[in-house]
Amino acid sequence: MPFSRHPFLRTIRGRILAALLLCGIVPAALVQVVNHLQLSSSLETSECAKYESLNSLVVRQIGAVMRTAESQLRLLRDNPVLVNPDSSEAARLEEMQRIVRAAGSFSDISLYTADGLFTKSTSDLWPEPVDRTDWMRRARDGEPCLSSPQKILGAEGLYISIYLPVKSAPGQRPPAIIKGRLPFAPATEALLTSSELPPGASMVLIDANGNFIGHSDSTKILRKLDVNRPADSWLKPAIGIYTDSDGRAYTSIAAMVSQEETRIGEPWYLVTLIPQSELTAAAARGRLSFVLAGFFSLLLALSSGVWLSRKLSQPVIAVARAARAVAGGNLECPIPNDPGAPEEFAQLSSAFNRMVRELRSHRDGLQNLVDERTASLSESQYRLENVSAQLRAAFDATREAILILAPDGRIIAANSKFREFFGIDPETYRQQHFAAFESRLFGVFQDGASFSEKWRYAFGREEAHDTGWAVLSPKKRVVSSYTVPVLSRTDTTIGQLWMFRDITRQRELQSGLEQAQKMEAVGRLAGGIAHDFNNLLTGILGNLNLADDQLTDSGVLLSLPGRAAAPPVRQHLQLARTAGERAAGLVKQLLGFSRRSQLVLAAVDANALCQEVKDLLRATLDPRHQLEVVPTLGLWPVLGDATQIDQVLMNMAVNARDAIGDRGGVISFTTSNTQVSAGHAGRHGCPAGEYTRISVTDNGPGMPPSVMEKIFEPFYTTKEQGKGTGLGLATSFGIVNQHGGWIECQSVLGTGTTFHIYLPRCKTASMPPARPKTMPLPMLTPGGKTGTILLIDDEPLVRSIAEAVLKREGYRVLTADDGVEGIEVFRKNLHDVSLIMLDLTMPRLSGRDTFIELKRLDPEIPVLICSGYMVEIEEFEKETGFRPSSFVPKPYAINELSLSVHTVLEDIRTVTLMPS
Amino acid sequence: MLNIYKRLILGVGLTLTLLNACHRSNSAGTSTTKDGVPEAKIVTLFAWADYFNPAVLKDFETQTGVKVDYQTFSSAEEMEARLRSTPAAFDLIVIDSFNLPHLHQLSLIAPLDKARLPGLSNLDPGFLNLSFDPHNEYSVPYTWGTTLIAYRTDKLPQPDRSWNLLFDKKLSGHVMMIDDNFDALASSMLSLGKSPSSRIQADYDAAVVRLVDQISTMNVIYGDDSTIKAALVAGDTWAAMCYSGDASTAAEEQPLVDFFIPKEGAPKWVDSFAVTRDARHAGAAHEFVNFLLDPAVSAKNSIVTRYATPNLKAKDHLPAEFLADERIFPPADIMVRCVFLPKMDAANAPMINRAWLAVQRAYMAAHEKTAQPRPVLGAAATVPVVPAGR
Repeated sequence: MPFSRHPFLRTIRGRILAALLLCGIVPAALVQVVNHLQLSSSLETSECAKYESLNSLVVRQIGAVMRTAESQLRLLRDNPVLVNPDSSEAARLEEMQRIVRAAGSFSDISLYTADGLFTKSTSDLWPEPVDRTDWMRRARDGEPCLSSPQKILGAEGLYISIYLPVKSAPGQRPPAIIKGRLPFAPATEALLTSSELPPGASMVLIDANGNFIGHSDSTKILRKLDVNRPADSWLKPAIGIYTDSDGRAYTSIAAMVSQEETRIGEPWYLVTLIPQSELTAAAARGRLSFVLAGFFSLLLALSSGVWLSRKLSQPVIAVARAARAVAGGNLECPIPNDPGAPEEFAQLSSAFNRMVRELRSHRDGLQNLVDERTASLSESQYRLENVSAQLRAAFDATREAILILAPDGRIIAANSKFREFFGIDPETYRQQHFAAFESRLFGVFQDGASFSEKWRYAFGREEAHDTGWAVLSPKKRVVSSYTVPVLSRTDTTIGQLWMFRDITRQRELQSGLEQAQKMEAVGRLAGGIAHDFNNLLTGILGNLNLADDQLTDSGVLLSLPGRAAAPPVRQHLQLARTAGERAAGLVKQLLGFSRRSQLVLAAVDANALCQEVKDLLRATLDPRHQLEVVPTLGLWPVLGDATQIDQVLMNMAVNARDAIGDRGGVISFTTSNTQVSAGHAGRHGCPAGEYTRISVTDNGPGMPPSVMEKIFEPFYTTKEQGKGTGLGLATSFGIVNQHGGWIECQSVLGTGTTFHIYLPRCKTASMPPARPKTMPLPMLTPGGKTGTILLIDDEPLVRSIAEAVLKREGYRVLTADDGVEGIEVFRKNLHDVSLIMLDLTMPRLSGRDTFIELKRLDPEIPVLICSGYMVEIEEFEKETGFRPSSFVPKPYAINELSLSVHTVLEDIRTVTLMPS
Repeated sequence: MLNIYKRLILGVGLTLTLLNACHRSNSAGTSTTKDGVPEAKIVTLFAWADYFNPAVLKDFETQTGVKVDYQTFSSAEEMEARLRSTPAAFDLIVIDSFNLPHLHQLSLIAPLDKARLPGLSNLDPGFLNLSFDPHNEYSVPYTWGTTLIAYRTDKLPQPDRSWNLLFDKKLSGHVMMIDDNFDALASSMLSLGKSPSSRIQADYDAAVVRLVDQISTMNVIYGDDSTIKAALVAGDTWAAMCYSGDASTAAEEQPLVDFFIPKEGAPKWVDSFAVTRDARHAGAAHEFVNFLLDPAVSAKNSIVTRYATPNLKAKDHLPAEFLADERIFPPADIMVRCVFLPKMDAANAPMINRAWLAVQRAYMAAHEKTAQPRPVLGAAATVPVVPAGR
C-alpha cells in the first residue's frame, strides 16, 4: 500500500499532522541536524583550539625556561670574580659554589682550561674530564653560548650547558672557560604534564632532529617521536591526524619554539597528541545536550500538533458518525449541537440535519412506490413461470431431440430426447469447453466427419434440413437433422437450434417397399424370359426335329416320297439358327440391363449418332413415319460408348415408332447444349454442370401418368405378348445412368411424348471424328492351323461345339470336364499344350483358382478366358496375379472364337520368333 | 547524518593511516630519507684514520652507487664531542668497545635494523653478544685486536716482554703512550700486576702515581695511534703502547719494528660499527656495514688494515701467513691473558675520570714546564701524519 493511501493519512487528523510534519517539524528537524553537524565540527574545532592555546602557553613557558638559562649565563658573565682573569682558581671555585647555592638552578658549575681540560667543579659527579665540543670551541673563541639539551653520564634527564669564557686580552685565548649545567628535562616535564590534557593525550617537545627533549616518560628522552617524520613536518599542517606504530589515531596539534626562543640556534617543536576517540567523545558530549534539547522541542511541537488536529477533527468525526448512521438507515440520529465547535461545523451540522429530515420524507414516499411495483412484478413472474412450464413440457414431450447452443458453442438447453438419441448428457459438458461436447457428439455418428462439417457450416446460417444420418450408439438409428439460428428481436443470432428426428422406422418401411417392388419386377422378368425363350426354343427344337427327320441314322439325307414339298434341311437349320441368334440377343439385353456389360468410353458426337440411327431405321420404317434429325451446331461432345448410346437411341426410336403405330407421324431427334442447375441435376443424383441433351419426340397418343410411372421398370411393356421384352427403356435407363446422365420423360395425352437424354459433356476432347463403320471380322480359312489346345469347360454342349470348331481349324484339342481335371491334363501334356481355353463358372474348382494353378505350372502358357459374363482383363489380373491372354464372350461366335485363338497363338509365335 | 560525519572523520584517519603505512613500508624497503624522498647516495663514515682499504671503499661505491664520505677522528673523546655537537652530521661510526656504552647512554647511537644486515651470520659467535652490547642491539663488530708494545729491535734487541718496559727509566725520552684513558691506565695497572678492570680506588691511585712518575721522569709522549706509529718507524721512539694493527703495519713498513703482547696480558678490544641517532642516511649506513660483512670484502679489508677480523668466513679468503701471525691472531695461551677493559658505570667512572684527569694535568704541567707543545686536543686529526695505523 503506498504510504499516501495509508488509512491514517486519509483522515483530517492524519493530514493535519502530516502537513505539520512536512511544513514545520521536518524542516525544523533538518535544521536541527544541520546545526548538529555544524556543532559537531565546531565542537571539535573548539577542542583543537583549546589545545592550540595550551600549546602556545607551553611554548611561552619553554621560552621562559630558556630565557632563564640565558639570564643565568648573563649572571655568570657579570660575576666579577669569575670573569676576572686575575682571580685564582680557588676564588673562582668558591664563587661558583656560592652561585650554585644561591641561584638554585645550576646542577653544577665547572672550570675548564681553554683546551677543554677539566680543572675544577662544584660537584665531582661526572664532570666531563675533557670537553671538546663545538660549544667549548666557541667559548674558547670568546663567544658565550648555550648547548643543546644533552644527556650526561650518570645522571637522569637532559641538561643545558652554559659556556662562558673568562675575559682575556684581545687575541689571547681565554684563561679559563666556565661551564654551568642547568637541568632541562625536569623543567619541561613539569610544563608538559601539568597541562589539562584528557586521558591518553600527551604533549611532547622534540628537537630539530625529531628526538624527544621533553616527555612525561623520561625513558623516551632523545628517542624519536617518529623515525619516519622530520620534526618540521608536524607543522605541516599544525593540526592533523597522526597514527602511531600501534595503529592508534591521534589529532596532532603542533607549535614551534623558534630558534630565537630556544637560543641554541635551532628550533624545537611542541606536539600535542589527542586520541581521536577523546576528541570525538568530547564533541559527542556537547552534541548530546543539543540533541536532547532538540528532541524535547520536537516532542512539544508534535504533541501540540496532535492536540490541534484532534480539536479540528472531532466535529468532523461527529458528522461522519451521523452520516454513517444515516447510511445505515437510521434517520433518527441528528448531529448533536456542539457549542464549542467552529462556526463552519455548526453550519454543516445544521444543513446535514435538514438534509436528513428531507431524506426521511423521500424515503417514506419511495417505500410506497416500491410496494406497488413489487406486487406487479410478482404477478408478472407468476405468469412467466406458467409459460415457462408449458414450454418446458412441450420441449420435453416432443418426439424430436432438441439442442440449443449459444453462439460461442456452449450448450443452452437440451431435452430428454437428445439424451435418449445420442446417449449424451449435456449437463456433464456444461462446465467443459464446447469442443469436448462436439467431439463426443460427432463420435456417435457413423459418418462423424461429414456431420461435423455440416454442423460447423450450419452455424448462424439459414435453416437447413438433412435426411439420413446413421447414429451408431447408444442404439443404431437413422436421424434427420434440422437446424435454424435462434434470432433475437433485433435479428441478432443468439443461438442455434438443432432438432433431430428418428426416421429409422420410416427407412425400414421404405426399404421393405423397395424389396416388394423388386420381387414384382423379378417375377415379371422371369415370366417375360420364360415366354420369349419358350417361343425361341420351340422354333429351334422344332426346326431341328424337322431337319433330323430328313436324315437317316447315318446322317444321309432321305428322299421320301411325298415330301418333296417339304422345306429342305438347310431351311430348317437356318430357322433354328435365327431363333438361336434371337435368344443370344435376348441374353445380351439382359446382361446390359444388369449393367455388367463393359463400356468403351470415348468422345462421341451425338449429332452423328442420331444421323446413324436415322439411316439405320429408314429402311425398316413405314413410309407413313417420318424421321427427322434437328442437330445443334457446336454441340458438346459426350464421353460415352457409341454402341451403347446407339442402342439407347434405337430403343427410343423403336418405342416412338410403336407408339405412333399405323396412324403415321413424325419422330424427331433434337440435340442441344444444356447448363443444368444443381437442383435439377440433384433430383437425378447427378452434379450440376454442362450436359448434352438428346430429345426424342413423337407425336403419338401420349402416355397417361399411370404408365409413365412404370416405363423405366424392367419387363414393363404395353406391347402385346411377343412383341416387346419390356427391357428397352429399362436398359436405356441403365446405360444412360452408367454414363453419368439420366432420362426424363414428358408426355401429354393426345399430343405426344418426348424423352430427354442428358449426357455429361466431355471436356477432354473436341468433337471426335465420325466413327468408322463397323469393321467386318476377317474371314479365316478353315484348316491348316497347328498346335494343341486344352479346352476346360463343364458344359459338354459348349465344350463339344468349341472342340468341333477348333478341330475344324486343324488344332489338336484336349478337353477336361472341370478345373481339377484340366490341371491334371495340363500337367501330363505340359510341353504339348500351346493354349488353354478356360471357362470361369465351374464346379469343384472355380475358373479363377484353376487359372492360378495353371499359371503356377507354367506362367508363360496363354490362357483364353471364356465366360457368359463380362470379364475385365485388368481386374482379372488384379484378382489372380496373372494376365489372361484374351477374353471370349459366350455364347461363341464361331468366327470370333477362331480369330481369338488364332490371334493369341500368332502373337506368341511372333514374340518367340523375334530376335531378342 | 551523524554517522556519515563520523565515518568521514574515520575515513580521513584511515586514509592517513594507510598513507603512513605505505610511507613506512617504503622506508623499510629502500633507502629513503625522513621525507620519503630517496636518500642522497652518500654515507658519512666517521672512524679512525686508515681504518679501511681504500679499494674496498671504491668497490662499495662502484657496486652500490653510494658515495662514502670518510671522515676521521684521532680519539674517542673527539668523536664523542663531535657527535654531541652535530649529531646529524654522521651516519656511521666505528667505535671501540670501551666507549660504545657511553654513546648508548648518551643516546647518541640508534638501534640497528638487523633485517638489513643478513651478513651478521658470517661473524664469529665469539665476538657477538659481548658485555658492552649484550644483544648487539647497537653495534656490529668490525675488527678486533689488542693494545700491546711495539719496539725498535735495533735499540732493544732483548726487550723485557712486560709492561714494565714502558716504565724503564733507561728508555727515557724514547717511550710513547697512547692518549687514551683506558689504555694508559690499563698499561700502568697491568705493569703493577693489577687488573685493568679493578674497582678499587687504591689501584687507580697506584696506577696514577706510576704514570705521573713516568711523565715527570721519563719525558714520555702521549700521542694518537698514527703519531706513535710514525715515531716508531722513524726510530725516535724505541718502545710504545700500540694497537696491534698499527704495530703490524709499522713492522711491515719498518723491519726494525717488532711488537709483542706483554706477559701480564693486554687490553683486548673490539671495534664496532654503530649508526648514529640522527643519521640522515641510515639505509646507506646499513648497506655499507652489510657490504663489509661479506667474507671476501672483509678479508680484502683486513689484509690491508692488518687488523684481525671477527668475520669467521673471511678467514677462508685470507692468506695462511696472515692468519699465522700470532701478533695479529694471538694463540689461545696468550689470549687468555687478554681482557676486555671495564665498562664505565657510576661506581668506576669517577675513579677513572679522576685518575685520568690527574694524569692529564701532570702531563700538561710537565709540558708547560718543558715548553714542548702538546698535541692540540680537539683538533680533528683528519690528515694523519703518516699514512698508517689506528
